Amino acid sequence: MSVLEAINLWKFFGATEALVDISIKLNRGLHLLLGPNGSGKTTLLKIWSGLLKPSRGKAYVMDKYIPWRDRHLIMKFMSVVFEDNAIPPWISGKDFLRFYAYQKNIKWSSVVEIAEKLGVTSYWDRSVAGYSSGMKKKKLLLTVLSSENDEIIILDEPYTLLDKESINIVNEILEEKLKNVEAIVITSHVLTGIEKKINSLTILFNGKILFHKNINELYREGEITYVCETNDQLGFLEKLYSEGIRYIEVKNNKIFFKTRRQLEWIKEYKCKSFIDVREIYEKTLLELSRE
Amino acid sequence: MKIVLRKISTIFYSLSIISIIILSLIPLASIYYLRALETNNTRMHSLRTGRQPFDCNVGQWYSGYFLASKGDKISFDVSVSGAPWVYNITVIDLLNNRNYTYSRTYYSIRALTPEFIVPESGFYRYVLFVKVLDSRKECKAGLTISGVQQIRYDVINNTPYYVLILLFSILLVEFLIRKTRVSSKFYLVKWEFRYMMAWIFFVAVIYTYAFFYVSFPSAIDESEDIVLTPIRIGKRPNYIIIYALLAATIASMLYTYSWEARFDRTTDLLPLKRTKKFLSRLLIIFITLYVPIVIVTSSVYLLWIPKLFFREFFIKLYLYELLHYLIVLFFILSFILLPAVIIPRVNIALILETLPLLTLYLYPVIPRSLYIIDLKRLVRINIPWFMRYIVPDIHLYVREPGDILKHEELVYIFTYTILFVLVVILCMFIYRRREAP
Repeated sequence: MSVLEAINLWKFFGATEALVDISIKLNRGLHLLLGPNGSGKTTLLKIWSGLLKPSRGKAYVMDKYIPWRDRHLIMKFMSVVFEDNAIPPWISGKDFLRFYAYQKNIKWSSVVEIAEKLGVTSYWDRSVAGYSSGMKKKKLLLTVLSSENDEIIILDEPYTLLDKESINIVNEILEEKLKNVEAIVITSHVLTGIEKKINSLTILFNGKILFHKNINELYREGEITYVCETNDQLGFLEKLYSEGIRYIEVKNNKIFFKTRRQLEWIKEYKCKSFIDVREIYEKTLLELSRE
Repeated sequence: MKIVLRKISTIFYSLSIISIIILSLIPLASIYYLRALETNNTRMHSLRTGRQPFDCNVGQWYSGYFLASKGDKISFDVSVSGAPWVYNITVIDLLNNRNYTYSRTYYSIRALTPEFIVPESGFYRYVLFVKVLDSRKECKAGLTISGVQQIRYDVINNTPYYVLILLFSILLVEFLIRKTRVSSKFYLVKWEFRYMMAWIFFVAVIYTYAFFYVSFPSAIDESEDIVLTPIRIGKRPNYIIIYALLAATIASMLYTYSWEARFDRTTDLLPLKRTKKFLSRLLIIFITLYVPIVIVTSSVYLLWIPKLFFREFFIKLYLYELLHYLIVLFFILSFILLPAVIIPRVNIALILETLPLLTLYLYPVIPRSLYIIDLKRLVRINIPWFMRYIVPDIHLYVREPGDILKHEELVYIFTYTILFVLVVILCMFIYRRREAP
């Protein structure tokens, strides 16, 4: 079962083609959508959230819901934050969250718990008019992060305006949520570490999908970054050289290197592997500019 | 002191900058009132009974009621079929129980009858007796009552009070909404209401403006009753004012679109049915459109003649007035909801569409030409019991085309129609952009 699906999806804004024949399937896990401004990431997410109606093609949520038609049903198990969401200035942060919690059937205690983690409780009695942009952003994220009933979470640029500490807290909560939800979809220009947990990476450009691979494909075909810890650093480095791996970095007892090959012997060592999303992204865009 | 100032600034902030800008329309409207004052624009109402036969020996009685303000001039002219004839009139000030009587025998058929200059604003009854001193059995007489209204200096002088009452009422509502704890079930309504507060100002200003323009339905009809409209300052529409209001409407829509759409988006992402949102907004639209006019109407009635307000007749008139606007409102709502049948949600732009419509309707020249139908006439013809039941003493007067279609007003109609069509197109465009961008 696919959690989110688009079949030959087109979206026009007047003469502008925001999405061009997009077909994509997102299954369980964390999915990252990357792309420069105007590439169609937010439009795609808005179609899946039922905020926009596709001009052509079909979009599905959980295989059966048509987002535009069933928005109120989808929102029972989906939480979404877009960059252009806003809280009315006259309402206090706490009242807004109460209202939201009631509508989404969220336990107030879990709102308080996450609010305390994000340090929101100190100012949530004040009306939103006096909040900074970061404070508002935290409030909006709180609506998503505190929800217990969600199966799908969609976050459009969740990290902009947040300080480093808050980013780490958000990532921690998201990682925790990954255990319970079906899918989390994030678009971001800022890579904060959450990309290490992705199940698929999609790069959009000018409304088209340039790159879409799930984690297995990435591991199979792409360059993997390894971080290994060993007491026998010299022996380990020798093995790497013998494999023809040249880009190696040693930092505080940790050895970083990248390779496209599957190294069987590495399992004997204490290593972590992840995909370098930034590099894939930059490489894809570079190739595109060469074309 | 600091806390009070902070609270005031918060309230003003929450009412949004746009509403404060719109509030600045009030002085603009005041300028219009002053202009009306300068032009010395008075209005005349008249009633003709037609010549009716009566027994010469018995005489003929006429009686009726009228509302009038200090300085209004009312003449009771009688044309008779023979001379000499006796003219006897008593005007009773029903509030103060004072009688004004005039009696005279005229020796020519056409004679100059007295003019009653209203000594004090109030509610009057006239009793007129005509008898022809002739040996014939059957005589004929016709009564023409003419009322020349003075410029309502009292209303003009009271304008700041109306504005203050409006502001106070709206701030009170704002305060109550802020302080009242609403259960989460109805929070959406509260949310929407808070969201609409900015626009209540706008509506209120428009209503104040419309009210001064159009006043009550004049009630001179082919009957013995007469009610002069208590408030009427000028009869000509001021293009600049109308244009300014429409321009403000368009500008508000354009510049607040992205601002308010973002808040809307937040509720779009809640598991709320479109119908629920639609209905809660509809309820708010109704409240925002109706409450200001209730406030304005009440304040006008109360300020005009406080003593009268508690009279049964006046309360009936007041209720009739509110009911009249309610019908107008339903008419307008049904009109603006037409696009909502096609598209699933009414947005705030549609409210703004109602405003020109309301002024259009309230200015009686327009609806007949624009919508072909005239609601007042429709009510009068189709629901006679309604009129009888609500206001037994008042008959609704629908002006005939000859009364109103003057050359310059036709220009006005076209100008207004074009502007109105532009506003509607803009509303639809904005709606489309928002709902299915």
